[in-house]
Amino acid sequence: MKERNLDIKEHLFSGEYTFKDGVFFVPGVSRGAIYDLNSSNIYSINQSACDILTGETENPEFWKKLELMNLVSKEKSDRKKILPKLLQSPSLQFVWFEIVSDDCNESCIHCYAECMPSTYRKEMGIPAGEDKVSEPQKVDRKISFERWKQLINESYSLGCRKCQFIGGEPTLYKGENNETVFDLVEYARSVGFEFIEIFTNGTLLTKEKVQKIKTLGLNVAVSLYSNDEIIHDSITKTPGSFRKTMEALKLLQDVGVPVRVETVLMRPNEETINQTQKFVEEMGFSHKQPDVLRPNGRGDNPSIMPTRESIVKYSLMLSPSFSITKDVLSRNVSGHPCLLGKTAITDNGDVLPCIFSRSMIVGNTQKTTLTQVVSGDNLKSVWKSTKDNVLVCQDCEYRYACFDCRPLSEGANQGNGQYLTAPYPRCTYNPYTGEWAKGVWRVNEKGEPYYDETLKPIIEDVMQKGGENNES
Amino acid sequence: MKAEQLNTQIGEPKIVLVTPAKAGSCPPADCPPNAACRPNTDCYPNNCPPAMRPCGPDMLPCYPNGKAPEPPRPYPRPSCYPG
Repeated sequence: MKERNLDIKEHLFSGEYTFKDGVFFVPGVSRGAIYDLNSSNIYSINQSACDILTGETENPEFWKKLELMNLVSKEKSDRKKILPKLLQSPSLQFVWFEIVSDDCNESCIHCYAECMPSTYRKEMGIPAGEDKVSEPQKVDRKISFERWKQLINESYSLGCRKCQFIGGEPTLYKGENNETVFDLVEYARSVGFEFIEIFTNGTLLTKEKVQKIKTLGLNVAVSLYSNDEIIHDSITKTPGSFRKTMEALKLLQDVGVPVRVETVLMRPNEETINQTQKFVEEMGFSHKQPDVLRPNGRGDNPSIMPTRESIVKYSLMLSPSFSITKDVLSRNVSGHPCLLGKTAITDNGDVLPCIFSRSMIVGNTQKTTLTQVVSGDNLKSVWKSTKDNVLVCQDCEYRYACFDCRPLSEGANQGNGQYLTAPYPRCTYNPYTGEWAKGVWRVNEKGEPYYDETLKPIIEDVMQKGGENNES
Repeated sequence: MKAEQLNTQIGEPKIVLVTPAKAGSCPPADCPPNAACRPNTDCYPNNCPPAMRPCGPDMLPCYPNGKAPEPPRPYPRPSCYPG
């Protein structure tokens, strides 16, 4: 597909009126939007208004209205273009160090990395990493402790200040001389990393380890799938895991470690999802909205996908609700708003743009340096791909204020969509008609997008009841 | 705002705010009946004075009686538990 250029305009003018600094016009295919960085507001405008802004038609009254809304003024002097300053050169900003790619002491039914205990793997005859890396690119060797330290150091030298240690279960990491994840964290801290998080199921944390976490100033993220012990344990396929995770949370809380507790919404836990969120809040931990299961790895399984009602309720964008900041606009005009500046390194050195993008290998740090991967075309083309390249989004006036998930967009289309261009399956806006909440976007076998209205009755029902993502 | 309000309309130029009040200001028309306002703050559910006038610029509606609606959220990054 031919790449499209940015289409965002500032300092539009007519007669004595000019857009204020920080006010932008973004055309869509049937409507347009005005982004105002000064107030964080976004306005939707119809085609007639677009024609007035672009000078196709004249309407001084409309410009006067914009003046009353503080979007335009008659001042001519000292206009400063902001857009050029918002364009970022891609640079490394966040790294997932996936120090244990295969092993976990749990065997979650939805794991995107298809991790499980090594004993299970042996029993089932699945070699480690077999299902994740294509043969021509496969590297069997695990990264050594010294090499991890080099990668941490190199990441810092490339400008990265935030990282996460993840697995598998990262506390299972064992270096050649029995080094642990905490040795790597300690090194990252000594190098200068400002934000370090470890993503763990918590079941292997002891009082001593929690004290170490506190001393190192680590942030911790923990998965909790339900407030119901039986449901949680059935998802992890590990009896007793709920109890151990809860014990770890208590230990972390007691010493004041910053903890976020995250829940993936899937069929087995959807009936307890509200109670689980409440449970987490009552325990005093921060959390986000439940993350609706992505069809990646073992999560690519229809039998554990949440019901369509839950997908509509918890994940769909059902009505226009946008705001804009310098940071959001800067990321959107510079590249992909989520992927820009991020990368994941697996324990055999593969570099992925995102931890979920298991088949999108953009380099290997056992074959080249991380610097070469970061400056190489494979990763740069992912980072620099704006939503002007995403089908449907490219025609939407909200494209520089919105977010999406590329692995989800690719996975939801089950092989029909391309990683960088598949439409976002959780958006209900139809930029060709200006309508919301009639369906969602999919791609057909020819790779063409279509508006799938099969969810329409459920969307209507959820909106009537007041969906999680619906405006009141 | 209702989705149908945003349908393509040829003719009169239309402009509609699509940012939730929390991030912007409270247009008077969005204020519920009997609502009072306080500057730039979430003001429900307690201690709201009775309404004297509609909410002005940079004010948000107060809901003295009954449950306040869930504050609308601008579309953020989708939830992503590892990052």
